[in-house]
Amino acid sequence: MYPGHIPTSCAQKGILTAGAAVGALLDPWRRGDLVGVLGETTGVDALSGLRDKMKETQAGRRILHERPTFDTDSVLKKLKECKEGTFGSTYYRYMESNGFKPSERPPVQFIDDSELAYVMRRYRETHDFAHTLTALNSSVAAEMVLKSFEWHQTGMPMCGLASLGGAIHLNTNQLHYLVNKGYPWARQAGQGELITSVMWEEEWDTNLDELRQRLLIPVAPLPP
Amino acid sequence: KLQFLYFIGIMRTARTALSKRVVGRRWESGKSEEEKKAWFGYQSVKEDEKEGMVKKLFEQVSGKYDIMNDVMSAGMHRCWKDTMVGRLDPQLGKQYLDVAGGTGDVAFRILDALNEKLMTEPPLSATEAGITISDINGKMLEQGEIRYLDRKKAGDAAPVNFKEANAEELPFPDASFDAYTIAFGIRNVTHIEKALAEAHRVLKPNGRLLVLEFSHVEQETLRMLYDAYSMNVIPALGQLFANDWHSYQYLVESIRKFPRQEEFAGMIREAGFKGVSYDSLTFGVVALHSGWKL
Repeated sequence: MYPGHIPTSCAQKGILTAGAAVGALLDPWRRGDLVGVLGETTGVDALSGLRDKMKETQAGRRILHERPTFDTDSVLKKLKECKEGTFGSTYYRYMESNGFKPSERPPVQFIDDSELAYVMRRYRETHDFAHTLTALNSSVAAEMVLKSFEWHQTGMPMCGLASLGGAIHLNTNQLHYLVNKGYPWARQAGQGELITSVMWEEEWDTNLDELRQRLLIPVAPLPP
Repeated sequence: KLQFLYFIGIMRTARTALSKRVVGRRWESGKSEEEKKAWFGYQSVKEDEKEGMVKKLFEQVSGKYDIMNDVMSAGMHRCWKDTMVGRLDPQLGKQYLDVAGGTGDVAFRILDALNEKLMTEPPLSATEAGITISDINGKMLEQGEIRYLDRKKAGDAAPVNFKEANAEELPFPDASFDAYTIAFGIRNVTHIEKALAEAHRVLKPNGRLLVLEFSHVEQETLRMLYDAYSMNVIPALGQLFANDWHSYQYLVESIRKFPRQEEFAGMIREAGFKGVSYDSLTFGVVALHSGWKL
């Protein structure tokens, strides 16, 4: 249906769901791809709802129509030139310091609808943008908070599972942070602009704080 | 008269030239360059592409090959390889060639068997023992070499050599081995007949061929269960364990495309082997074919 699409039966999706859930919980650091698989096998209904929400705004409709993607490393390199304090330069630094590359993001494979596959792909691309906006790092606790935020925005079961399940890797301090600061922040920030409806590619030179105010997505409290 | 002879000569030449072209066309009509195809699983690809595709696939899976084997066979590949080497009954002072055996599973079992023999039998003097592992894929050989370094000992019954080689064109002289083994490798070869012919060539007289390969389950109910497992479960497990659906999909499909037990035995006979027989293991999920160069 689209490049990289792998049609799967119900039984296969079941196996993938069970296995990906276990695998991602046991080794979230090396098997981030399983988080993606889990999202794809369980998220079709939520993606459908997200797509409909996107259609309600002009910005969202534009994204669905133009289908921008951000999966090449060449654009990332150019962002090095952005001024200090802009969205572009902060995003560049976030990706560089973590050794992430847009081209290494796992492709969407198991969603059997071309438009929803695009929405999932866009959501995945915006995950790193959300990191930049919220200043959350890639630690387990921070990722859980970010997933909670994404769950409020997208309703995807994988986000919900991830925002709770990762707790097996946390100590008491981190759990306190999660319940008292992280989750409340996520619920509030989740009311902001839909991250999948933003044309991020036009915001590289925008001042980051200004962007945060405009989208109503503030910096998150950082984990201990 | 001279003119007449000239005329005949020209006619003859013309007719030969014409018939050559006609014959040539007839030969090639079924096999023009564009049409030479091979099976890469269920995908029909150009013959010269299959080798490259298989190579790339194994480059990707080399690091996780063990996991892959366990997934494909629910761990049973260990038993099957044990059976194969048991059947081979390795003897001291012989030359063994394991083809497409980069990671060393079969070769190391042969070495272990020889080492055990060494403990109970006096070593034959003035006879050269040796185990050669060949594989078309350098990465797989690397895996084997790493493992060999871990288990190599001073008193080993035979040295193990590694050689990158294409099963269809082995870089070994005629009649240089006492036994040729290939486990789960022959179905990846583009021209199986060539590999079998090469096996025949490099074996010494009285040498033995042993082929272990996924085969066909005769019993209908079992076959349905096995197919359901293979086609539904294995690629999904490949995604989960190795983040690689496609390689496992290929492997499952290549099993289906491989000739059945009797047909494969026929191919081995055609390559010149005698006393060809086979054993179906695990209801035919796997078959062990044996032949002799007599």
